[in-house]
Amino acid sequence: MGRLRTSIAALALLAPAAALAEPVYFHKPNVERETFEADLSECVELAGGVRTPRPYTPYSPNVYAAAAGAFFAGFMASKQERQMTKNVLRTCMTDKGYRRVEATDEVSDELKKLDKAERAARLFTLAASPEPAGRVLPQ
Amino acid sequence: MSRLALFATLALAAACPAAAKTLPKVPPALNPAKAYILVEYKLLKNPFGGFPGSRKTMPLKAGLAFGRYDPALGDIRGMGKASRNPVPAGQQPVEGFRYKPLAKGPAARLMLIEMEPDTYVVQGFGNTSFSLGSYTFELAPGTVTDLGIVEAEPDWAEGQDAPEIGDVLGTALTGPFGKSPDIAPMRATFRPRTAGDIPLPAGIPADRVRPVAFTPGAKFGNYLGGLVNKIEGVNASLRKPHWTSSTNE
Repeated sequence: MGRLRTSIAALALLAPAAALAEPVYFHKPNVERETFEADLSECVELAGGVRTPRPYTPYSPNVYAAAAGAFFAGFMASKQERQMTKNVLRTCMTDKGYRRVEATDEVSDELKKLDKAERAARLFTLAASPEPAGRVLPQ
Repeated sequence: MSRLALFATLALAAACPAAAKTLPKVPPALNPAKAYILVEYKLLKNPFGGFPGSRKTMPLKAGLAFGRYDPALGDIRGMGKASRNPVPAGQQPVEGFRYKPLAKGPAARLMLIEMEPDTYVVQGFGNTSFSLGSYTFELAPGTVTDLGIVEAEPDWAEGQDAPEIGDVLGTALTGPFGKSPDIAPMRATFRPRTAGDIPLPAGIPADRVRPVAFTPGAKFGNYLGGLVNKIEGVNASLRKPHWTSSTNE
């Protein structure tokens, strides 16, 4: 169960970071590993419930116009879903007493080189460290 | 052929689960097998109300959603952790918002909803699910449970605020590649009905009306597909002044 939660946590932190190009992680000094994984799993599950309505694209007999319309509608829907997912994670983790931290470039580069399990372990040490490694963002 | 189409329509209608009814007028008699909710919405302030000719309040396009809650399993019936306790066939686990006011005030709308008796949770408001902590309450058959007055507002996070007209124009000009305006989950507060609110409509037997008894702390999954929050607002709770013994001295 712990291993599963670790994997979920690793994916959770990487997915929004990759999608939004924002190396952000959650920090709570001296948090227990079990607590961190449970908190993050719960928030990831809630974020997984986000659904954006299927984008509406008006009919056009011009195939190029229809393709352009569908492209932009899909682009906007995808952008909206990422924004909502990010908001759910932020609200949920804030409720559990975490602060968002913008990771330094060194930390981001280091995380990119690690495999899933190593990344999860590193993210936990970052989350539980007494001092945040980066700029603390608004709550 | 038309007879076949009629049978198909009737069969489809019979197969659809019975939804709660938001009643536009007080029924001649309360159904003893049903439970009723009375709730008054305060209309949201229009953020662009300062412009000449603009309305001061927003139209009521979204409202409360109620879910049938299993307190023992800790989720909405038939979903997530409570998937083994579904509602009976032909009924719905979630009752969404329908705009059918029973009475209108200057900046308020009163709703009367006919529902199945059960334990309910205030599942959400608009696009926000109160999954991080909400209120449960009981609906007893043949009674009208008065939820009182509900006021909802966006629960802005630190450093974020409602977009101003400049932001809206900027977004329109930059198109899909520009920065999207900030979004915020909703939060809701309830208070009991007072003399200044819409009075209890004639026809509702006063002896059958009971004030709601909320139990806080109910958690559940995000089934509305939108944002999540605590009913009191996670961000609003952070902004509350924390009085300590040292600050009181």
